Amino acid sequence: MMTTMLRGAFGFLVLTLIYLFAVFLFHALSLPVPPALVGILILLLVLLVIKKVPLSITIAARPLLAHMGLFLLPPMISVLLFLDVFNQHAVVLLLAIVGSTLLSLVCAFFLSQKILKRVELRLKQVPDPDE
Amino acid sequence: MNSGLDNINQLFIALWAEPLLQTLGVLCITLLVYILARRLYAFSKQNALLNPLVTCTVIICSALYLLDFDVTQFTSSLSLLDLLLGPATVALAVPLYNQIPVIQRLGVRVLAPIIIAGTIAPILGWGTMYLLDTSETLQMTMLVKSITTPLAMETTALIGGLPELAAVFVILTGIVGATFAPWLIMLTNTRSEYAMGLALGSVAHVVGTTKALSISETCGAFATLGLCINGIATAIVLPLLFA
Repeated sequence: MMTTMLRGAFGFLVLTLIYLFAVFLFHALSLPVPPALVGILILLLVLLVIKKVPLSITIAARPLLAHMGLFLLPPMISVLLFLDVFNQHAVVLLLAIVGSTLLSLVCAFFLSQKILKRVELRLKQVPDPDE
Repeated sequence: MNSGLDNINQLFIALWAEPLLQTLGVLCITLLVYILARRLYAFSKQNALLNPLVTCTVIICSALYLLDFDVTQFTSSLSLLDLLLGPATVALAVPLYNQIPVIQRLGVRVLAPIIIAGTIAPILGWGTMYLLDTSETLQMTMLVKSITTPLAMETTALIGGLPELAAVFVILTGIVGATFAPWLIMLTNTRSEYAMGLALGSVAHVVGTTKALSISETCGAFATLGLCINGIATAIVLPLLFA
């Protein structure tokens, strides 16, 4: 129990340092991509090099990813500041969000199914009754 | 060189910007509401409409509105959560790394649906906004609606949108996607779990991935792949195009 917590704390420290380093790189080099993305790429690179996810990182990542919603509350609450923008464009915004999401999901389901059919078949090695 | 360190320093200065007692009080209240919202979500068998983030936002926003509490002061007391969002986003590299064997097994073809879905969704969203003649800020904000919230906020800041609005658009997109997914799956006669997962992850990000996990483990794994790849690709491409 104790070691798990220590490992988790160490993993968390590593993730935080990677993020801070990414923020630093982002500003120091004026990178064109978001700092968090720079952080993801750094960690991914490290994982690819060491060819496994260290236990400490796994332990730290689990609660952070599971409670991402909590960390997103400040920006969600700040939307109160944009209430007038929302009221002014309510119909347009709803139309854009609902309409485009449904339509793109339909396209995505349909095309993914088409594209992946052969790959999935090859993988499972079973004849499809439809073909 | 200095500007980089200054920016890191500012992240921490924000932590004690408000009186300590207020910061602690706001944090405790927020945590309490969050725990209750999660209970409710679990109790409703993970109904997308009761996503804890939404319940929390509605409860806290109504309270702030009714009590006439200063929103800026409240969110500035929550700087700790802001700060934790960074490491949490970096942690996304872990599920992505765990999905690499899937890409190796299925070949790059598995990326095609993600790229297609990741292109259609923002274009449709932006197109609607453009046709209905809204401001450019709103159009730019709509472009990031299908990627995971932290990346969406940072990306939209780079291309001239509003991060706070982006967060709301993204969450709404996820909820709409996850709620209607079962019907759309029937409508398109989709039977491949790979396809369901990839589409859900790349159009409806984390909320869609939760839905995919409720379909099956495989479906969830593919949704995670869609979520990560689309988030990264969009966050790279949009700033290059518009920044």
